[in-house]
Amino acid sequence: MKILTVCGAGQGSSLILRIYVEEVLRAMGLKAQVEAMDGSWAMSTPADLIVTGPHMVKVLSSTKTPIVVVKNFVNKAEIREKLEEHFKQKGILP
Amino acid sequence: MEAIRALAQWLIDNIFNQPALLLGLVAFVGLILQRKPFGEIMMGSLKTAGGFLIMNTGVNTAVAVALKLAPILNKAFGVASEPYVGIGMTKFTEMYGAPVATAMFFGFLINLLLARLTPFKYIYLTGHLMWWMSYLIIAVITATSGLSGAPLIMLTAVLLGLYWTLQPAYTQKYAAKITGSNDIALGHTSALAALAAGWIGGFVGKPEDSAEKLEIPERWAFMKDLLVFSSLLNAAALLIASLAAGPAWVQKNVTGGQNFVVFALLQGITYGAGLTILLAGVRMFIAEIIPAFKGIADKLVPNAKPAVDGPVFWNFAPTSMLLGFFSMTITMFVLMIVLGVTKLWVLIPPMIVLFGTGGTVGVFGNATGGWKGAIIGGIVGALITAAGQMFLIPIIAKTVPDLVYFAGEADWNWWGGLLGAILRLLRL
Repeated sequence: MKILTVCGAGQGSSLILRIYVEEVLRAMGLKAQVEAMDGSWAMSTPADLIVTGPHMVKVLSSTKTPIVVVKNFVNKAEIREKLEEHFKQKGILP
Repeated sequence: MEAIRALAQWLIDNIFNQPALLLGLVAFVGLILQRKPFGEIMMGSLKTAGGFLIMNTGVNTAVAVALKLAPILNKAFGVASEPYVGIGMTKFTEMYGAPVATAMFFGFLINLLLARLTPFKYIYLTGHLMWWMSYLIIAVITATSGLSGAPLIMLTAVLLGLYWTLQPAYTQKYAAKITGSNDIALGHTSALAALAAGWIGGFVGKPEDSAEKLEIPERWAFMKDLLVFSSLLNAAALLIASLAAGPAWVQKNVTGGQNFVVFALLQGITYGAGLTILLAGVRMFIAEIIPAFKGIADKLVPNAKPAVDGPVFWNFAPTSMLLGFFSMTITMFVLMIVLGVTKLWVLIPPMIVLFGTGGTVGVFGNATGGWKGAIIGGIVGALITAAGQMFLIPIIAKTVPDLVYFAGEADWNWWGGLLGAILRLLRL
């Protein structure tokens, strides 16, 4: 599974989000390749999932990749809850 | 013994003075310590070194465009002075890239030590700004003193360690207000501007009148794309300056005969493209280093608070971010014209700063002053950044003034300027 974490410039906050998403996935026992990038790159990069913040949703409106929106990039409980919800919908988690 | 010394000397002469290889080596060691599989170790170290070289390519492209604006503005406003050039970033990175990388690493260790021993439990994790702040401090010290080698690296590392521990502390009052918790801190070089925006916001409005209750037309959301934003604004700046300088003069002296509108548009997009390359390179070279830093920090300072990039805070107030961003951008363009007409300063609006600082001051202003605070925050952010450019550029005129033309944020300008002014007095 390939996951992109996305912010405006693809520098600091998407990398922070990547680190926390990786920690949450490890705790959930899921394997994924997580990459941090900016909106333009994310829209032309094939992936299974995009994780980003509310301020980026409109920039990413033309992508077909499913998007999970997280408000607090360092809150593992929030990240886990939103990811679990998505994975359950996709049938990856029971 | 002799053989070991010869090997060490060879490493110092051939590897440690090559920043790309040095950073690759740091990633290599970090990945081995994390017991990553062989494939990941190879990929991570090579991408770190490659990212560094990609960044340099982007710098060359973006800075070249930023510097084309200066002569046009000079002509438009009748300012006689030549733009500051110095050594320039390309050459400076070759000369000092290795000390910059080394100081960044030791600065991080000092940040860890201070977080462990003092009540300031902040660990700075904004990787790209760790690189740039290290770069800037080395540029200031080498421009204003005779320090080099180990003393240069140690002084830089100590200053960085102090800055990375204390900057999150001085913005925490407002940062906590934005996120509604005390778990994260701001780790961003717009901090002085954000602090001012938060403080002044309280005088101009009320947090209850939050910008988040407003609706901003969705058709402006495309401006949040950095390539689009920086291309458009750079084209606009070149177009305004060319009209003021006289299209005929510009076509004769700057564009080599190319129509000035086509020139402005093409150069604008070139700038956006250069910036995209630069950011992609930085992204690659911090992608392995920062997670390794965080791993170390988690072990050594378990109760630390991460100090993270400005946009993490934008999520808590996306409309305020847009207000700050537009208000700062407009103010910066007005300042460019006002400072030019009064012949005080040839202001080159640094696009990435309008983006990074603009959004952050909007969110900080809104936390204390609602939508009025967000707008005033943008104005204050522009004033502090522009005045800071006037302060810092003459100080680093000998080394990399071009760095500030395309990316000088408030803390670079003011802390860097202050350091340079002190070093000049000390005559080290």
